[in-house]
Amino acid sequence: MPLIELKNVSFSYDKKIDVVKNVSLSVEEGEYVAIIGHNGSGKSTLAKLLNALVLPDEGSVTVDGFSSADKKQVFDIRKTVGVVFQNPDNQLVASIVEDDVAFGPENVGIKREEIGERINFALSAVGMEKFRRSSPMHLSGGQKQRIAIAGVLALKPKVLVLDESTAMLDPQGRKEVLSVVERLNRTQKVTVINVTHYMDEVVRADKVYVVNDGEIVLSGTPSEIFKKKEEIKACGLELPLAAEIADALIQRGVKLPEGILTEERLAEELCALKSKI
Amino acid sequence: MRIEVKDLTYSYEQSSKKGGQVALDKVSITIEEGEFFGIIGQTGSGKSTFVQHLNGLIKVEKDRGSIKIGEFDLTDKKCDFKALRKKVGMVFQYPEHQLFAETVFEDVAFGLKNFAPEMSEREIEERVEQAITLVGLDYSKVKEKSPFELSGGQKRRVAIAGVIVTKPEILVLDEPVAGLDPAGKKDFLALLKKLHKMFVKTVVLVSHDMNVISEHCSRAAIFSAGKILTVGTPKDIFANEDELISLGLSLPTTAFIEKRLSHSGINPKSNLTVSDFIDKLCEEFVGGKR
Repeated sequence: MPLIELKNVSFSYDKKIDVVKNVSLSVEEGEYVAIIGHNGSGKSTLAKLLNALVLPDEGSVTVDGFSSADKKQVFDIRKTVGVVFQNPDNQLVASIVEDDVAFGPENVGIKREEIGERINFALSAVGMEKFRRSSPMHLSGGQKQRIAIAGVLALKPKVLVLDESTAMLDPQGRKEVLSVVERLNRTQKVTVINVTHYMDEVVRADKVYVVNDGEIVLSGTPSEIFKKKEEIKACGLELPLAAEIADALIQRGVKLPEGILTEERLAEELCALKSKI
Repeated sequence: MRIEVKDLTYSYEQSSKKGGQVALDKVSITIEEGEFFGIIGQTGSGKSTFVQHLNGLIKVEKDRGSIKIGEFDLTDKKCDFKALRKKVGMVFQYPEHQLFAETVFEDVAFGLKNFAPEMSEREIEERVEQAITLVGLDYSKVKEKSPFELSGGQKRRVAIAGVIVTKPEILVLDEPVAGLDPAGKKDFLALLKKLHKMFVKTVVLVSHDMNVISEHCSRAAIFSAGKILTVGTPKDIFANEDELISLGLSLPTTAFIEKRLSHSGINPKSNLTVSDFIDKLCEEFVGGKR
């Protein structure tokens, strides 16, 4: 059984225009899923449906056996699916890192002794143990976002949703956050759903959903998705830059294989080509 | 108008006290008229503090350096900051958060009324229409709308229109493409290039996106811990990968690939823009210059 299942979900903020239209998708436990789409495509609303921050007008959302239709289970869904948002400054609540991480567990009534363990676990998972007694104010953007992730992890969610969580970070901060998330996915089997504008973040995913105008218009592995260049562009998106360059080179007669998506791979293939000449 | 900054020092905590963290530490730089100038650096490196000095949002403190922009001496007590701000437009990160008026027209007209109170209603209307059209919105469709009814990308355009309506000669932008989708980003950069060919003579652009810097900037500066470490063409500033990584930055895609290729004895020597990079690689691999 999939961990998350959306069946024919529609949602509207104003009861007039559906921002999510008849969406069905399922996410397996341990999967790394990317959701992409242009500004206003409905992808953030979709992310909010996944943890019952908004509830569907039509259709059903089921998470780990809990149904969003049952008011009593909404809380269970939110405990199962943690969300990290875009702006780290809007998500940190306390003046000391450990208090911030403890905020969630305290809120759901976890015992004091266990909270200590949860803080240890969460801070070490994001590699921020050293900053336990620091003030979040003095941390970098990437560090703040890692604390926000720790705050979510302290609730031991099965699913981590990143809603453009790297959009405001510098390259190093982005790298930090992505590698932490990747490690959680690999070693702790945390299911990851990354809602993003960065096409190079998509390349890492097991499965990609492309959202346009509230509907899922494409889905598949990154290489399947990025083969459909025209459709991707029609959705206001682009290929990763390395893929664009590889494409242009192929068109001008450079004998590269199809399906290059990352700069590392492009560099490797070019070097290999050189050694053949 | 040339921008000349000398030994600019600034700290957010009271400067007289010892130990206040220095946000800018003796920064000196000259940006010539006509440049498309990039600024990169880790969060907290002083980039935003620096650019906020350029239109007097943060004032130069006594004995803490000097800034001259064209005729304006920003250290001079008599400096006419209102006139300066008309010439130096500032676009912040998430500019759409600064929208406030009831209609798009009023929002865009606000700056103009503020800076040019002598302007007639008709002239204001003309200028507002020009600015809104220039940013790619349909004037007659949006002018009476509330800015808050518009989509994210449209809001950002309205905010930009509100800055360029005074026809600034220098446009300073702090992370203007953060949060935009790929197509929105492309459109926005095309708009910047268009403005740069019109009345905007100099663009100063702060960005975390190294591909934007290598593609669009004539020169750029790397900020670190309140200092400028390197100034030069994209080729210059992206030459030292290890240094960039130690500063929390990264290479643009083109520079990354060039660097890897150089280990295999391939040196395409492009200027790091995508089109030149592709041309140089084709010369290398397909042979024969076109």
